[in-house]
Amino acid sequence: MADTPAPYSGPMLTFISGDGVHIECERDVAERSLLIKNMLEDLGGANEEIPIPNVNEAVLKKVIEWCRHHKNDPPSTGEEDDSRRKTTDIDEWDQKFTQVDQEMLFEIILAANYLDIKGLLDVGCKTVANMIKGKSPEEIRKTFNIQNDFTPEEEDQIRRENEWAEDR
Amino acid sequence: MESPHKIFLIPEVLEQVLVELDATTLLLSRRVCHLWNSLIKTSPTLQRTLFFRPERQPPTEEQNPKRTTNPFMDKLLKHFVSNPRSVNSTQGSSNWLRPFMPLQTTNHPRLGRNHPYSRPEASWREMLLDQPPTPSIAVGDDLMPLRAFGVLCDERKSVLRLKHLETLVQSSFVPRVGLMPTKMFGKSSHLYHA
Repeated sequence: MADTPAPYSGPMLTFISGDGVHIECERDVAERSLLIKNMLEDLGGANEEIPIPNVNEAVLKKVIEWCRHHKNDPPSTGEEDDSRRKTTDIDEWDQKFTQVDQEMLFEIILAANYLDIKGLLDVGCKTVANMIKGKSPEEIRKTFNIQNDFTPEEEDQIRRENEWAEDR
Repeated sequence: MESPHKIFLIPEVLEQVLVELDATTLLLSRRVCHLWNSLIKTSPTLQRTLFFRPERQPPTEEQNPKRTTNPFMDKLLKHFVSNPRSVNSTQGSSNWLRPFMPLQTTNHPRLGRNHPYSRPEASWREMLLDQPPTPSIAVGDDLMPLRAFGVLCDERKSVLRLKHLETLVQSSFVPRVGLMPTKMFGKSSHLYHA
């Protein structure tokens, strides 16, 4: 799918990013976000200006890029789709899409969570999970700047419970 | 020290990341910090992923559901038994038949009482054998696998966990014990010891 939209005569809307930049977007692309979709249904009209105060321009553009590529995906089948869980693979386009620095990846996930874009949140979380797989607790903390807030006794207790699994 | 990104502080997002992990990394990740530990211990989804919490049973017992074997099973059986070997399973991965020699697990000379596996608090004991959990397993002789010595099954409200299997193996006087699905033996509501 090309990045420049095919002839599109449908309604447009304008996002205003947290850093005040106006970004045009086709309405059907924007509706990949359930938050926006519900908002538009409540508001009715097109040509809306929608402020997204906690997402900056760079992140919002990435999010729109993802939505545009995936605008024809079938809608997700809801919460109870457990069989979905086993597909850990990320498709090729999405893999390229998520090759960004860690901070950008996390911001995209945060935006996807806020805007309620299930597919994008899913891809982002899988990418982070792939960064964690096989790492020790120490390595995980180091990678993500997480503070070890256990007392030595607490940590030892958990280690004793689960050390049997360490022999991989 | 820098602080972690916000996504690691939102339990729903963190849960969605953790649910994508393999079971080993997920279990060991309890040691990362308090938040990770309590989320992994309390999230029903993550507890199901780790075979601690039973998945919903399918509505009809007659439909033999496709079961997923506990990913730690091979590793664990290695400790249960002195000579584990898999036997060709006739009905695909959902059913298994696995003969083994019983062993006094905690007294095994290779494993001291302080071996990570032998410790009384070792978490594997609370794990289920498969998901959705097998309601019962038959215990038989691997030389004559179709002759069941007994059936180990859940009593109404509890489900079969690896600790039950451990107890059975430890108390068993049968030289060779095999485990197999009970479908072929019919239902039973009691616990038999071989």
